[in-house]
Amino acid sequence: MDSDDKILVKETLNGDKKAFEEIVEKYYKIVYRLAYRIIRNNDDAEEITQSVFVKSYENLGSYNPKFKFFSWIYRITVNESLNFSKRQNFTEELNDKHSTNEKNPDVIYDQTERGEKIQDALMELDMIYRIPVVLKHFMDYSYKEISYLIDIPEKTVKSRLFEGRHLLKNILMKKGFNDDRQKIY
Amino acid sequence: MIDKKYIELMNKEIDKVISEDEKTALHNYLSTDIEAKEYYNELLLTNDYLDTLPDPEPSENLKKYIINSIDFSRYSSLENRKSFWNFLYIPKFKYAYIFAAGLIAGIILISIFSNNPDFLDPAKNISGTMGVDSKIVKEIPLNFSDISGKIELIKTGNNFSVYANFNSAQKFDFVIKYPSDVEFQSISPAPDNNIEFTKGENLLKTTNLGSQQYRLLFLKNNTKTSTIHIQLVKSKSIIYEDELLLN
Repeated sequence: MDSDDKILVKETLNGDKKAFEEIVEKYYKIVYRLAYRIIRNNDDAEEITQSVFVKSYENLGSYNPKFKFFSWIYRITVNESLNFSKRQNFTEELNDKHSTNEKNPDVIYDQTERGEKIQDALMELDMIYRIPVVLKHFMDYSYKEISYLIDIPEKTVKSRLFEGRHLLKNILMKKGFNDDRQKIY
Repeated sequence: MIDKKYIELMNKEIDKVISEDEKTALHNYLSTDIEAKEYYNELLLTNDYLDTLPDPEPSENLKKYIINSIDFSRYSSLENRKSFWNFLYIPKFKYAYIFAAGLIAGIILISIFSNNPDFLDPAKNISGTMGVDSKIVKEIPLNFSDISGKIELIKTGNNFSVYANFNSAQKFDFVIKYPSDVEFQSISPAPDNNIEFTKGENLLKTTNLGSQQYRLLFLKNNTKTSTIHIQLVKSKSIIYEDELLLN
């Protein structure tokens, strides 16, 4: 899988436009989903996705093949999402953004009210906790991979992930998400 | 108070990285501590709630936008150069190529030993060329008292790139009005803290200060000539305006 990516990278660097189009085809949805989970806004997630591929193309020459290509591209995604969030002062505008309901009209996300509330709870987490939770839960990365993606030690990944889960749990419970707890354990 | 060690084990179990011994220890502990058991239930529930969120889907056009926003001329020139050499090289004449290479090397060596540096002078004039499909349509040098730099319009296939290269001591706006048959694709690199970028209907505005270099990419899908109006606005006064023709 990753060796296929490395061949595509090599072909792109040799001037084969189609090879990079294959890379885009393969990863654009995953990159979009990761960005969406981090910032929760369709237009912004699409803008970040576009920027991720433009930057990865422009910097393809600096890609080190000793790392997995998809990790490299997800790392760019996380950084782009963080930079985007900083630029937008996202945390301050969070409530406004939610109330404007800026979603793709062609797609219905998180249809239920419950889904909305869960995603709201996730957005209440500070970025330092939200990103490890998103990478672990939605991307199923190992602690080591998350450590590479967000450039912090593995030990810190664990503490932030565990704390993030704890905080998220408290937010959900406050929102009344504890009715069916007896069914679980 | 739940022992921190067991909170870690609960998380490890959720992440499926717990060992058998740790699992046994955790479940023994949970069977004796009601508070810990409740905490663990809530963690599991939280995880389950996240599982209920469906995967968001991007719009259908996203891939097209991404592809159109990439300037593929960056690496394609390498391919063109390779094809050019493949075209020139004919295997049955390989000895002729070797002879020609030897001859050129000999002439260069003789020129060096004969202390004639002028021999290599023509090489000084060799300069790079753009990718085969790219051409500069218009170049506007800017030389105002506190704004300098240039604006370039470059055509690559159906894509038109407006390259802005500004140096300014004071804030000013670069305003672009484009017709509806022209589609704005992207700005790259993405605006950072030093640049404000706003997009309206057929209207773009960047607020610039200091040294700025970026590209605005447009796509045009018909053969008609379209006109983009550009303005540089400082303190609400237009200090420069011009038109860029896309054809």
